[in-house]
Amino acid sequence: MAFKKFSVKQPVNILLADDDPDDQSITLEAFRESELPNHFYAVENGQELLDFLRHKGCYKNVKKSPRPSLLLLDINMPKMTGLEALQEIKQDDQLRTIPIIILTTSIADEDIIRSYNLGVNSYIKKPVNFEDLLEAVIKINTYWFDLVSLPPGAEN
Amino acid sequence: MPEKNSIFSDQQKPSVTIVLADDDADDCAMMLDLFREAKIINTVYTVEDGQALLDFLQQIQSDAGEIESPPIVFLDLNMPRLSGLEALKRMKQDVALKAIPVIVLTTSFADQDILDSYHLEADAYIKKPANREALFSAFSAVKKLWVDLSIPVPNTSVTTALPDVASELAQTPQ
Repeated sequence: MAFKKFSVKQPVNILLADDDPDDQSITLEAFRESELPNHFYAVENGQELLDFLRHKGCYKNVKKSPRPSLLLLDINMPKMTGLEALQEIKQDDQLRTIPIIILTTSIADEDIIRSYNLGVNSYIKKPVNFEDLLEAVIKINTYWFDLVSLPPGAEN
Repeated sequence: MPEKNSIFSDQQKPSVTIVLADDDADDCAMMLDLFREAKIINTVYTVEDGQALLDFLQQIQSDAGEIESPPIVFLDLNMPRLSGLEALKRMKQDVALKAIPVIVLTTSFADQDILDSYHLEADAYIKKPANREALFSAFSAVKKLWVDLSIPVPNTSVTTALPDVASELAQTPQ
């Protein structure tokens, strides 16, 4: 499989919110293999996600919890679900411009409609095998980092 | 009624309905051409300003049989009568329209326009490439994300039937 070199000059920050450690590690692996220059961060639930974005709790160090260029969000997570966190983020003036992709195994109409109503940027069914996940990640990267103009100041 | 163009044969059901809001007739013609070349199986409706866009979306919303596939809006910012940003703002304030994805596609490179668009919940901001080739690869990337990969919002009539998620979540005990 031929890989495309992305036009991104500076590494971008990808943040994944997913409670499954296996899913975390294969997503990290897919981003590494996609050859997009990136720093990859992961949190385990909605509460940790908000702490990360707001530099609270164990994420006080801004350098270790930078503002993500793109946020990948699972729906079913303990403590605070993806949809609850999504609602909080979209109500926060500082955070609402961060592009958010739902990446989940749920294809329930209700979850899809709610996500779009809460302002999610796209809804993607999490591929079950690595090859498909890598292909999905490359499509996501081409779209978000080669084509789209991200909100200015995303690197802060 | 906006102009309708179908890019599919009788055997194929269109996978998306594209609503192109752009006041430049030449740009619209070129984009129609490129949607076809990028093999996005679709129906394209073109509208010339923000008000015509809102009118059309409200019309398809009240008649679920009006369009055959989930809509995606491509929105220019500089349009007469009602600007793209104002139309976007009104769409996102309308419970029946807010779930429809909006891709801003414009020649404006102003940071403020980009920021305002994301604030108003545009799904993405794409600077309209000046040449045909670059526009073609833009549409190919859009197709890969929106048609091949993303799950679109299901039948729009369901949207209005669902209770407002904000009020429901607010009632969830902490």
